[in-house]
Amino acid sequence: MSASERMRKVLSESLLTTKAEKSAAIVTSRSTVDVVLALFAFLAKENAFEGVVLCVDRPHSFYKELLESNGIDSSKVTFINVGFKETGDNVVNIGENASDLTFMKIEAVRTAQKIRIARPNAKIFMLNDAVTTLLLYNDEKIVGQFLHDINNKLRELNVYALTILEPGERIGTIVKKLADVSVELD
Amino acid sequence: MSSSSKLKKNGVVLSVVPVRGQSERFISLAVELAKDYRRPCIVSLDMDPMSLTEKIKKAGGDPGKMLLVSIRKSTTPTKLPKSQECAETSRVMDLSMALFRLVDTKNPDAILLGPLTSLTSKNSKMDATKFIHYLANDSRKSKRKLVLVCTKKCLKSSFLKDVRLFVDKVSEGKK
Repeated sequence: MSASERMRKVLSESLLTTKAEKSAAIVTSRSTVDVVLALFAFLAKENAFEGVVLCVDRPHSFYKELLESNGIDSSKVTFINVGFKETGDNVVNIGENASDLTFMKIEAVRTAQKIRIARPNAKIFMLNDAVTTLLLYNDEKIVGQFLHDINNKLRELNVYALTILEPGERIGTIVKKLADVSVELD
Repeated sequence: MSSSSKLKKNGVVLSVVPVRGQSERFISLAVELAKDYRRPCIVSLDMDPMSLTEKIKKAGGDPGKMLLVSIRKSTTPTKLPKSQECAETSRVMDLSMALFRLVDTKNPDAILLGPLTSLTSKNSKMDATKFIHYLANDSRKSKRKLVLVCTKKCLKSSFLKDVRLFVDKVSEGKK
């Protein structure tokens, strides 16, 4: 079994196990790109979820290409570019850098709400793979409040919140506390 | 120049009203706006839906022609008309969800929001400022008018000093 198949197996055994589950923390030291791909394969490809991605470390064009070259439909994913200026379908550009947490949370929740209004029964997830970068620009308490605010609103909208974390991050305590399930991927 | 023509000329306007009679002035701005715009969205940060609707009617306006966002009170009915939204609190996240539920579905051509000081009572100054900055950017992008209302008294606060950076015109209007 390849590493990516193993990751998908762990994800499928650990995520979406109950109806009440609305958020997950993925703790991993693996490459973020590999983990993102495994999450998309599991949620978008196998479980027909629509996605919203906060693009903080990589622009939407990177994710789009990554998904399409791996046979995952990117047309049902909305990308929120933070600090990147790109044009294209399903992409919104906001802010200058990752310090604009208020802009980010307003846009993230607004985007999720728009999808929810347009498709009341859609399965939707939001991915944040850049907690470490957010901590470069903001202190831990502010990032914790940002994650708490977003998580609460996504719950109201019935949107599944996914946060990728590196092992040993101090903010991990908050992220795991906010998440309904915590998955270790090694 | 009348406040209505200032509005037409400038995309984002800060309208300064006297402390005494501020809510009457807010309502008359709403009624004025409804004469010039097809579907204005009125965002009151200190009134519940019932008193907002009543005050607009009393001032000779038609609340049915407007989209209304207000703050929920314990007496607010759970079911509201489709043109109205209630934010649970004036916290930025609650407010932006309620506001954008209307903006993204009903496409208003103007927004009136005030009083701005109510924003800082439930939010940090940073959150409140960024929310107004976001709204101003979004309004410009969508070619939608934005009128922000504050009292003369709070004009010197550091929050309002920051807000003034995002507006095209400060209008002192009627005294």
